[in-house]
Amino acid sequence: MTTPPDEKTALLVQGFDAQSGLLTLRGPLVSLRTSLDALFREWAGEVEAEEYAFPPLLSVRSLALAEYFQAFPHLATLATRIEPGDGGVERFVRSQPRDPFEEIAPECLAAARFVLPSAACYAVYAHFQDTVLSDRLVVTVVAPCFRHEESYSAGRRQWAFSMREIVCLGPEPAVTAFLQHYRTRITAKLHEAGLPHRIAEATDPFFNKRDPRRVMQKLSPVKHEILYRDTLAIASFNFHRTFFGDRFRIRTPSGEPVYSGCVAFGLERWLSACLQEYGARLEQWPAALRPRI
Amino acid sequence: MTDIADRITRFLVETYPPLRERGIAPEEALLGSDLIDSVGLVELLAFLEQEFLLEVPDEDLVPVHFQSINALARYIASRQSSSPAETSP
Repeated sequence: MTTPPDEKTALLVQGFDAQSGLLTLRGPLVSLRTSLDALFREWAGEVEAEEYAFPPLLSVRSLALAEYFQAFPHLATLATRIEPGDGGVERFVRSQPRDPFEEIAPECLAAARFVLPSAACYAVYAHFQDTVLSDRLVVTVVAPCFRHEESYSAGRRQWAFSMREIVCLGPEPAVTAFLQHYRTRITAKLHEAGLPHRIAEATDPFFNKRDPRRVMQKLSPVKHEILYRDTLAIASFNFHRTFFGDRFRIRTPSGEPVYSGCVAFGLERWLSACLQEYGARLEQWPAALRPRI
Repeated sequence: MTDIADRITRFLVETYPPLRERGIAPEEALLGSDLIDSVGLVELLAFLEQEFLLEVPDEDLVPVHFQSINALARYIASRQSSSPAETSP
């Protein structure tokens, strides 16, 4: 007798606060997410991606360079502190009510200069700002990511989630070949695993429907997603052309902005899909979706 | 339709200096080349809506309508012919 899908994903739902969109994993789910990330890390190794671990915060200045606050202001999660100047911390401590409280008034806070980013790859472009790349560069990174949304769903849409990315910077042919390699590689793995999926054109959730990047995404598709059972985007392939190379002044030796592209994996979404298909025991998952080590 | 294509061509060559020198053929690819960047596409959209008094809905933002000047002219012509006829009050 097969286990109904609801029971297979019950562990996910148990640890989920739907109002805040925050998910707690426990027991086997932690190991399964770690295992999925190890698999993606292995895939990154195939193109000799160098692994980086960036700080979880990015400066407002960096994201402003990427025009993030025009494109995705509604997603942004800002990081700040109790205003330290002019006795602000003392005043804050004195003004605290005795009962437990749920929020801190904005007048107690310092201006936000840092952001908890909504994608892992922004840190890569910021890190390589003002550099010259003589050859193709491939980097992989896993990071907690944050997106404010209208509503949340366990394993599908959370405020805080984990993203593994493989990012390629360099000449246009190298970046398009990189994206094609992963598109072929991942779909072959999913076929082998029998995970129901299809590839679809996609656009990012821009705040403004006439944002130039959104119009470009619609007219000259540069973003594709792998949809699990037609509804859940578990991975995306993104071709940025020279957008980030231009904004972050990452250049070729001849002074031209580099092209870039990235492959992104939403770890909890993969976890949700694999739980539903194969259950919570890794040994029952297809070999194609298990790391070698 | 030729008139529509001519008006679009005039806008493009007047707006984008590189096109002023080299010109642009009506069947030449607008997308997937570096002729027009993302900001240019939004400017082109705004021009089409203002010049031909129509609104391009989100579902019509598809490559087939924007692949060339002729494709755009066909799209505009089809929109104009499908508009309800004006009637007297």
